[in-house]
Amino acid sequence: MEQATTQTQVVFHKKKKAKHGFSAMHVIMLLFLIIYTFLLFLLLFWGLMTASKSIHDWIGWGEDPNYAGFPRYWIDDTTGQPAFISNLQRVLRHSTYTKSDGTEVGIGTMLMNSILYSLGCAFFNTLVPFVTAYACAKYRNPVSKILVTTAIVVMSIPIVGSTPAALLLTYQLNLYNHIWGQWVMKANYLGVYFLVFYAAFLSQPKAYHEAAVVDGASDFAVMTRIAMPLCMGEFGTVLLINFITFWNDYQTPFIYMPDKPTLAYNTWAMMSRMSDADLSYPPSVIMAAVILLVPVLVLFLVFQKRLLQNIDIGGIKG
Amino acid sequence: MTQTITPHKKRGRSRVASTIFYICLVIWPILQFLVFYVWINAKSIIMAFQVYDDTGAMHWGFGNFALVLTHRADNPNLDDVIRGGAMSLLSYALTVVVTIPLGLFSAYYIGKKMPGSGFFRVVLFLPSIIPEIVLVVLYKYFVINALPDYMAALGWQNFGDWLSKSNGATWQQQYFMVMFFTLIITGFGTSVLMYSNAMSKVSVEVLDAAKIDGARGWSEFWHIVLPAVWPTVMVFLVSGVSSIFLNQIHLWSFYDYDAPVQLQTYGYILYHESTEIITTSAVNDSKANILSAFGLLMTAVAIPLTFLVKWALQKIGPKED
Repeated sequence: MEQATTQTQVVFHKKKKAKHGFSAMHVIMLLFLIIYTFLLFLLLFWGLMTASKSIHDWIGWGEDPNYAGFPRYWIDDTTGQPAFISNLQRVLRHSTYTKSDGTEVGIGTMLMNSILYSLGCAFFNTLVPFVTAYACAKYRNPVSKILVTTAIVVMSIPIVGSTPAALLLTYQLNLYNHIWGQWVMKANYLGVYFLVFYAAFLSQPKAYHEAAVVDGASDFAVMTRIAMPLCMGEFGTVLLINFITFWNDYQTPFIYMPDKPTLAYNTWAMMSRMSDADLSYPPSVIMAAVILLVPVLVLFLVFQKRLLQNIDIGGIKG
Repeated sequence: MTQTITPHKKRGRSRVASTIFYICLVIWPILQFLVFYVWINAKSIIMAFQVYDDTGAMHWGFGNFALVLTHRADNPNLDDVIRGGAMSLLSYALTVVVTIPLGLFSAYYIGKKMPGSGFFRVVLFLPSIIPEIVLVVLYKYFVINALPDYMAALGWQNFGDWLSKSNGATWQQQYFMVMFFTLIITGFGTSVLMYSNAMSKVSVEVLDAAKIDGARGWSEFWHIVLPAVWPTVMVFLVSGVSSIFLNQIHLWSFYDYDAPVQLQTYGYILYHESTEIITTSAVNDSKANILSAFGLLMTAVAIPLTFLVKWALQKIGPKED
């Protein structure tokens, strides 16, 4: 399916590649995109610069405050270390959270929580629609039809405000305050990725499956050795998108597992704890943001091609 | 004694094995759906009609709805509800007026493979993977601290003063609107990729025919490209309607519990109130029930509105000739 759709795409692009007919609209868009890019990079660069500033540099203390410029002093005079390292240490020292039972957790635990939450939720939130889509595409019976129809109907009905009932259920099922509780809640088949996987499985030639059956392959073997490997590209892309989504999410853990703080939660909490003397300067909080951003940026740089090539309506190309 | 297996029996066994295998595949998603979708939403509806009095006794009725419409949980009057709706609608209007057109024009530029399009494609997608809280932290301090210095360097000396006091708005609102607008215009990266992929499906024959007829630039975009990507635009417009009542416009990240009342959206109110029903041991029933009623009211508006917008867009949207 992907190959079929890209054929016209390539022709369209090749044709246009030969000659750039600039119209007024293209010039305006080019200017807009240049300004956009400049502002985005300015923001990221400013963030990195600020995370490298000492408190002395930021406030001024006898000089003008240095909010916008390059760092004036690379060494933090209060610690005698590079300002970047000092800010990092300050964030690590203050990344603590007191749980409901009074015990305190540090940034190591938060990192572990982030990894477990993001990886687990991403895996189950990808695997369940993947397997269900295969079942619906391969076994065309009334149950499969109901599952597909339900997925479409649920997507078009907006339901607001069911969080209290969901919270109540997590209490009753003992899922509240557990990371695995979130894995269970996210292990649903609903959503646009189910339809994407469904379309991908439907487009597979039946001859592959039939040949395997003639050779004596079981249902399980057909699924795991023929059908799923052919859709691993889509699976990988959705897994990656889901991982980034859950890594960045701090609101769900805040409500459903308050005693399992993640790194994203820590960044938010640091911003709202600016009254703490040691955290009352933006360089420290921005350093916390940098710590959260680095893994996502690395993932993006490594898998950029896969993410950008496979994205289509609702997420990925079917 | 040797047992003979006939082809008929073999087929029968294989069918049973297939059925068992199929059941194993679908049993979890069905159970998960029944518990975490059907049960939760049914429970939410039931809770909306369960009213707790001062003694803690439960009655059935519309008391929670009345409380929402007159007091909105703990705020004093109906004005707040109306204001919340206005901010929610404003965020949707900004999406329609700013984000979608910018996304479409950018996608058109990229789809036409104009100079730098590969690079801009990556740049436009970048904000989509950056955590919301990181963008908020950066924008917040950038706008408050650094932007006035940069603007002064560009000749607008009083930008800092303008930002902190004007137009009858509080400085918090003023700062927020600047940051919110910046976030809106940086938030259309994913849509650009989707639009440009949809645009790539426009057949080359149609483009050639349009070119012969003299269509270029705006004319080509309006008459050829826009009708082709309209189904994708519709997805964004319709899903935007359904999330009007959930959109927090980054308020929780900016202000946590203390967002100015004038800025609050329904999405923010719902999330804010939901965080307050959590206690260490149990959900506070009374507040949970009022919130369920609030959610049910929003849903009752959102469902017909979503279908109405979808119907209207199908009727009035551009069509390929």
